[in-house]
Amino acid sequence: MKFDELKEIWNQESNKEMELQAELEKIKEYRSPFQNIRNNLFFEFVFTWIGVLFVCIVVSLVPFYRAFHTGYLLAMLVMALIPTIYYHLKFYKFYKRYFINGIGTFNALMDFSKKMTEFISDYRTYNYLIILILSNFFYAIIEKTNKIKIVIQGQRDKHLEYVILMLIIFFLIFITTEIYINYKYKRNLNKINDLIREMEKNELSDSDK
Amino acid sequence: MTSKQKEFLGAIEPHKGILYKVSKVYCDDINDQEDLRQEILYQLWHSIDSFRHQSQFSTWMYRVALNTAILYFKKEKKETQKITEYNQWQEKFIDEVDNSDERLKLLYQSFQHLDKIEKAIIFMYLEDKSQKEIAQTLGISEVNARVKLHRTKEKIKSIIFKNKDYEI
Repeated sequence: MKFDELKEIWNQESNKEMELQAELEKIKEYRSPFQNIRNNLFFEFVFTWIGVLFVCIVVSLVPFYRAFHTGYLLAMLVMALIPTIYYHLKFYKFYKRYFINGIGTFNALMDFSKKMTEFISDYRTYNYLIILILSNFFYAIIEKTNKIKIVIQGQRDKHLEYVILMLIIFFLIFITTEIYINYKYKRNLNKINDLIREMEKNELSDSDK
Repeated sequence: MTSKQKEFLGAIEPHKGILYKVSKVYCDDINDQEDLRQEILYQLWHSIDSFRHQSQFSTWMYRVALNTAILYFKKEKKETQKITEYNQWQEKFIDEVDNSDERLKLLYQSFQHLDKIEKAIIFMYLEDKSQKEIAQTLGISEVNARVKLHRTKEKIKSIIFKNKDYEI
């Protein structure tokens, strides 16, 4: 028996029983790490812009903001909008490159892994910047209600209130963001990196360059 | 069913063997095979608009199917069943069996001991694809494809044949 005779055995295979229509109707979106990341990115995009709109509406409608100077408010909004637009332009390029055009080769997979790591870093930076800006609004709401007061030697210390509240808000959002990034992105990225390691064992990377 | 779906199925139908065989090469479990077929079908459906007729439809299908299979993340499974099957199967060799169904079964079982790239390579070899086509589909150099094909064939030979003197 020659090795090529395996082709004869191979060609005996029949696939007549496979009903494509039934298979197509059964398509349930299998959630691979790529699809998870793609779905999360799309969700983030929509959610962020709803959030931006919401903040704009709240800021313009709720009376508490009058405590702020209009210029200060505008500056805050611009500070929030510019990084949001910048981040989403980067996001769109990333999304288009890997999720619209697809990941075809091993090198593209390696590239995706690197860019995804960068993307997570950008995402984190963007989030903290926005959090810092939004924390001011949260502070304004809390401050307006007058429910938290720090009194030192009979006098209310508003600066200390501000620092403590901002630290608490920032810490809470920091924990939430890190858990979220880990759950939604890093976990999936780790699976992709495992696959890269498995393929590297195959020495594909050396000659694929 | 929409007209786009009908058109899609019409285009896939003559080449559905690719889906069927790729899923069997990559997964030994029937449920996993079905999951992988659906994943490939989903990817084909999702990227059909990007098919630009610069290559043959079947070539494009091979590429999408194999890339999907290589990047497919099987759900966590117990490995015990696989090990048992391997131990049982080692007692049989393809050159000792006459029954064609059993030969085919042994051939598929041997694939489960290959890694993802080796599976793609042996699949294309059995589909009678040239080294150039293998290289293009996997995005590797032709020399690399030749070396890997040789190594994969050696590996298959060591598993599947009792007589190790066959030429490859």
